[in-house]
Amino acid sequence: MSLLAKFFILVCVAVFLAPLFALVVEGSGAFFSETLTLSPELLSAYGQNSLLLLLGSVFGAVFFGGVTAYLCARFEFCGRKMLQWLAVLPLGVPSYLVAYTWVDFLVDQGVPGGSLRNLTLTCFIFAFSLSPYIFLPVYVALVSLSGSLIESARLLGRSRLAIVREIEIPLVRPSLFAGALLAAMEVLADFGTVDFMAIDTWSTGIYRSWFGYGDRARAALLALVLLSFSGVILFWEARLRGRASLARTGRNTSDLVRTRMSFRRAFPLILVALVPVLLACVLPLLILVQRSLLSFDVEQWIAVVRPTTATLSLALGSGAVVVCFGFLFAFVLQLCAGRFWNDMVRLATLGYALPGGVIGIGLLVFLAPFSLSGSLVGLVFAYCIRFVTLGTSTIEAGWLTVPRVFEEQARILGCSTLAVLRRVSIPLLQKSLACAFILVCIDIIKELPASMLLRPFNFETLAIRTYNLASDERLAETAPASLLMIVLCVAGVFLAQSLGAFGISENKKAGKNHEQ
Amino acid sequence: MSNEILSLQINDALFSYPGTPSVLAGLSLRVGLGERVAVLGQSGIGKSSLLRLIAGLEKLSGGEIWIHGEKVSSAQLHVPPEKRRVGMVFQDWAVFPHLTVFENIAFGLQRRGKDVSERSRVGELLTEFELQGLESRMPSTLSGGQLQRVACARALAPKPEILLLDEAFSSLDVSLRQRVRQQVVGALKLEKATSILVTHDLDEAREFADRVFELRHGCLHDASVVSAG
Repeated sequence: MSLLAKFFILVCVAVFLAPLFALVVEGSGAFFSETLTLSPELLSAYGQNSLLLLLGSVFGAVFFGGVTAYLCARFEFCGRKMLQWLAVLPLGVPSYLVAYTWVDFLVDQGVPGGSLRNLTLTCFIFAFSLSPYIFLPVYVALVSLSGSLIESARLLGRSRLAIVREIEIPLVRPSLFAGALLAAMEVLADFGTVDFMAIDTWSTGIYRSWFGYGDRARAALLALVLLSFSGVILFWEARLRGRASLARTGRNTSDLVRTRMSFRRAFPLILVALVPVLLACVLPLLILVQRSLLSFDVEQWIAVVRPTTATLSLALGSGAVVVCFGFLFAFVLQLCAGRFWNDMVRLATLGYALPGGVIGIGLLVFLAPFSLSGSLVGLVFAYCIRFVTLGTSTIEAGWLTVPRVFEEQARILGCSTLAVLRRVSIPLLQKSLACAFILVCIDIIKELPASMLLRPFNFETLAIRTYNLASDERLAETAPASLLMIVLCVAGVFLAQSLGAFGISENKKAGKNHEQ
Repeated sequence: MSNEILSLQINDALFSYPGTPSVLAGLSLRVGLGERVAVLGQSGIGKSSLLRLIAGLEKLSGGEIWIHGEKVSSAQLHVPPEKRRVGMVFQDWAVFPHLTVFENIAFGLQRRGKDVSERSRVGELLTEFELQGLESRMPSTLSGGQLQRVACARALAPKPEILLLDEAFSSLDVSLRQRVRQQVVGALKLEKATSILVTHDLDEAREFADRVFELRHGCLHDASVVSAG
């Protein structure tokens, strides 16, 4: 790697980490400040609610995601492939939209709105919305397990239930935990849902401090605590990821064996597996379509033209920037040996573990001297920090599937590093680049907290518009913007899935079934 | 041989995967107690399928399989693998990565080594396969040869009627392969275990087995002439 390239990478890392440093400085200063007022009761309420919400939501997501993953990985039944596709769809619907539509629908049915805003219902909303976070890693881990491990256990006298308990759960546990930790991070990072459901969490505390009290130091301190908690989760997740890869280091020569099951026998399990997609995707979509048709108002649709244009241009533009950085980091990881550079990239891509609100506050503090907070530059910057990991990991995963020999052959044939990238790597990575772009765009469309904090004055995305209308209890009016968001995101999820983004596409060889 | 109890008897076995030509087309085989048999054949000819049928991991389309005088497979009958008392060593060894060497070997014993007799059985196998001192090690810290021996010891622990070895030595390098094979044969003799090895290596088959067969066109053909030569 040339000196210039090294310098560029170091600058990128420094710029990506600068807002976090700013946050640490501001938050630490606030901690020692005598003027800081933080009531212990409030802090304890934030902590308690956040913890209960986190436990309930993650437990629910593990149940629904785990059942779906086991069903799809181990049984063959009519509609399995369809179920596999559907199980990912809740990724395309932000949880705050699920909350808006559910509450709107139930209030319409005569249920008092106040009684709906509680922790239990919020846990269910998160459990359904976040079930793909469990389904995807557990499904991939289950189908990656060598069939001979399961067959060995059977030959040694174990029943199916005993195999699940003694072999499958221990072996997929790292993937399950890693998925659960990511889901936990999403719960902690959420603002839209908990704010609408009137649950006081750490995340709402940050916003209240910033917008409600205009207390920058207090917001920074709360963000710093959330950052520390995310740091612990991130460290744990990285360790588990390491162990998951260790569990897969054995040779794997045996195909996946699925047990054929009649639709009737599979039906109760299919029903459990369908609950998240029905309640967190299909139902909101149907409610929104019905609302849009029943109370069709041209003005409401005209009003969403600007937010839609803003959302799309922001998503496409920022998505492109994020993918460029992702490609650069993936390139460093792939072609530049050395632990130092590896660690540098890992540091620069810490953002996925950070709640949008934390990044937002960090950037507000960092950009304040440059008068850039509340600008599009700040917003794109925030998206880069938050989503560059997604771009990097998707491109890196694609790069790992490209045999190194192609690039080596091109070098032997006289290509420079850049020529190898242009003529060999990029053409071979087209699919991965497209997947990374789509996935980043979906997340940008859904992102609410960072957009709320950093948007320029009078700038409205679809997510901000729905949030503002929902905050004013004008739920019926959210329909056009919400519907457009869901359509865009679900279409993106479909597109990404058809490009093999989630690693759950069928391996033709792995179609062997086992009659029992 | 007809009056004595055989370890394994296969009569006119028929088998095919859906949409593919017949893998086994009337295959028959009789294996006596404590006998070691090797089945040779090209890749994809159906050697592993034969073992999977014996183990009960696949269902017969026709014919019968008897293990130790008991019918376990026919077109109508299928005794599940966990009830056949058959041990199998897979090509990838399938050593459980989350269990120690001791726990792996004790896995097939009812109380997983908690009993004194079962502890001593595991100890016995550790000695037979020269795995002493590795009891508490995790599989990720073992070499290929050690993993192979753990897989064999685990399969033999519950004293199965038949031990099936599916290309069990093919992943080892040449020098190690011969040493591990000799060790396994020694242990099989000591345990008086009936065993069937499938391999594509004639020398390996000859060194391992009392009788060698070749699987061709879905049937077994005596390969003793080749093996003798």
